[in-house]
Amino acid sequence: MKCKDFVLKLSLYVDDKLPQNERILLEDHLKSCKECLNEYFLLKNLKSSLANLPAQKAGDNFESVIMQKIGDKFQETNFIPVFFQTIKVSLLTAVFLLGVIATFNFLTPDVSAKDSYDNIDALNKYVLKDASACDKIISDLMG
Amino acid sequence: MLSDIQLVKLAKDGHLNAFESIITRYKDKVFNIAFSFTSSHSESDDVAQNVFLKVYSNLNSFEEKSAFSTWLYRITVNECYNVLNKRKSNTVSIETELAGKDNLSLKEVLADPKSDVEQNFLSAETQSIIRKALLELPEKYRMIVTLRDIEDISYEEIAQIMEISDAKVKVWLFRARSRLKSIIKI
Ligand SMILES: [Zn+2]
Repeated sequence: MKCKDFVLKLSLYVDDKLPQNERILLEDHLKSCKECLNEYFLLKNLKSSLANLPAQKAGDNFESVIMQKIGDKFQETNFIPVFFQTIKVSLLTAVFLLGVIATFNFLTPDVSAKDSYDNIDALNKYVLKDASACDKIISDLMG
Repeated sequence: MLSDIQLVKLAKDGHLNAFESIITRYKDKVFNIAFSFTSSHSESDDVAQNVFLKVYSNLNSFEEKSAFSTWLYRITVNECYNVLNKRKSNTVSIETELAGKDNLSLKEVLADPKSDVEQNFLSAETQSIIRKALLELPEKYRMIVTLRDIEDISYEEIAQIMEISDAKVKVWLFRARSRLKSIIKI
C-alpha cells in the first residue's frame, strides 16, 4: 500500500473504527513513515482541539422561557379537554341538583296535605271565630 | 434518576414537569450543537427554542424506535439547517460573533507530537480559528464534524441522526476533516 492509502485510513483510525488487520498494517507503516505519522498527529490534534472547544450553554432561565411558550402556544389545543371538563362538571352538578330535589320531594310527600290541614284548621278557626262573633251579635240583638 | 423514555412517557401523559426535566437534560447539548453550526448565540437560542417546542408538539409521534436523543438531535440538525436557510434569504447578513482575526497557522501546535491538546486550554485565538474554519465548511460536513468531534456521538447514531448510511458517515467525516485541515492551512 502507498502512503495515500494509509492517509485515507487515518480518519477511521483516530476514531478507533479501523478493523484490526488494517490497524496493525497502519501502525506498522506509521513506525517507518514520518510523513504519515505527521498526518496522524495533525488529525489527532485537530480532533482534540474540536473536542476541547469550550461548550456553549443555554441560558439559566431557558426552561421557563420554553414552558411559558408551551403554555401560550398550546392553550388553544387545550381548549378541547377543558371544554369537555366543563361539560362534565356541569352535568355532574345538574345530576346532583336533580337528586337533591327528588330526595326532598320523596321525603316530604305530605307537604301539600299538611298545608291543607293547616288551611282547614285556619278555616275552622276563622269559621268558629266568626261563628262566635255571630252568636254574640244574635244574643245582643235578642238581648 | 428517570430514563429519557420514562420522562417522555410522563410528558406524553401531560406531566409538564417531566418535559421540563427533558429540557434541563438536553438544553446545553442542543445549544452547543447549534452554536458549533452557527457561531451565533442568538441563532443558537432560536434553534434550541424551536427544537424543544417541536419536540413538545410532536411528542406523540415519537414511537421509541430510536433513542430519544437520536430523535431530538435529528430535530436539532433540521432546525440548524432551517436557521441557515433563513439567514441566506435575509438580505442583511447576520454577523457571527467571531472576531475578524487573521488566520494564524495552527500548524506548529497541531503538528507537534508532544502537543496534548486534550490537556490544554485552547487559547481564544485558537478557538476563533477553529470556529471560523468550521463556518467555511459545507453544511453537511460542518454538521458531521460537530456531531462526531465536538459532541462525541457514535458513527451509528450519526447515521440515524443525519439519515445517511454508515459508509457515508465515514466518507463525509474523512472529507470534512481534510477540508478543515486545508482551511486551517495545516
Ligand atoms: Zn506513509
